[in-house]
Amino acid sequence: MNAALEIFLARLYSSVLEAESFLRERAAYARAAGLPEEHLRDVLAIDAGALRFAAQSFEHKRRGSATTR
Amino acid sequence: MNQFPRDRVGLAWRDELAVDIHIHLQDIDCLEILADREFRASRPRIAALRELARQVPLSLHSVALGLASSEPVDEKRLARIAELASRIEPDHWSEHLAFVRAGGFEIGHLAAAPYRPETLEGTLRNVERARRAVGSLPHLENIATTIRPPGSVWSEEQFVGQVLQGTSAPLLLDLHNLYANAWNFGRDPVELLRALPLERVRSVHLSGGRIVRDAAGVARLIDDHLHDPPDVVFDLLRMLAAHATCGLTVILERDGQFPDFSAVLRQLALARAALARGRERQALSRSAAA
Repeated sequence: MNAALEIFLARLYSSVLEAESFLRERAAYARAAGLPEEHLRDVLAIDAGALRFAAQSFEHKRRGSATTR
Repeated sequence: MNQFPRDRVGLAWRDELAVDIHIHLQDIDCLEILADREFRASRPRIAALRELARQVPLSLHSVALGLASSEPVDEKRLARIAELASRIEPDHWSEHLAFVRAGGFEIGHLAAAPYRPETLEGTLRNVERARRAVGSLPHLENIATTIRPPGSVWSEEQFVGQVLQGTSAPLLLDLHNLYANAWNFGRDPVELLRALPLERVRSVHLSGGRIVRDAAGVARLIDDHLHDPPDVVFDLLRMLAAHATCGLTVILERDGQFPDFSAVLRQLALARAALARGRERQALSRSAAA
């Protein structure tokens, strides 16, 4: 079920709005997104500041070049 | 006769630096080309890159395959790398231990996948797919991350170590990524360096970054490739050279805010000096042990 966790993380990392929606109501958002229960504890433990920072950083990169490291 | 295979020091190709690179080619041992920028290159440009690859060892660096994932790597993307490699004939090619998309969601940049067995299995399958498609194994690069990959059961160095154990791929060790991860997660960069299989390192990236504070005032070090490598990166290179058993291809990366080229050359000189000191240290250790 690792793929489901990766998809869930990609969803959060690919949109600041999605990341914020998740942080507002973590468990409900995760269940609605179809995340298996076995990964629920993993995503409930995500550091909010680190997720916001990462999502904003990815957003910044997407607005810039798609071919930077 | 050299006691060690030859170390090489060069930089990442950027069109903004093209004139200076050509003028100073005698001071540059190797170059790195960003593959994803060349997929739609014109025939004359490909011919020029091929000619460059004949003058100086050239590595082809890929950024968007997403090898570190339980999802299979896109065969079309692999085919594009394979075609580019066959046209340019680089010395080697490389890609990151990262995922960049999943389930149709494009992250648009390198993200750390959960360090767990399923990711490891997927990564090993993807590296093998890449080898088959391109004809050689990529050098695999560690990435910088500001968030601990949720769901991880291993540390980054444990994950990297197991990927290398499961493949014959060399490690492209990005020393600023290593330093940034150490800084952001309260680790000792030297300890992190020593935890990696240094005998597998064949190539090295040097770059710089800056500290950014979020709205809550929490500081994080980001690897932006817009600043000079800090001293600690050269210290880490010296330590690596004291332990690495193979010749190292060291690439200085800079994506913007380019300094005067004399500053770039000074950074290459600092890298050479760090390598020389590390190799000297290794030779002394060897002779003491003999």
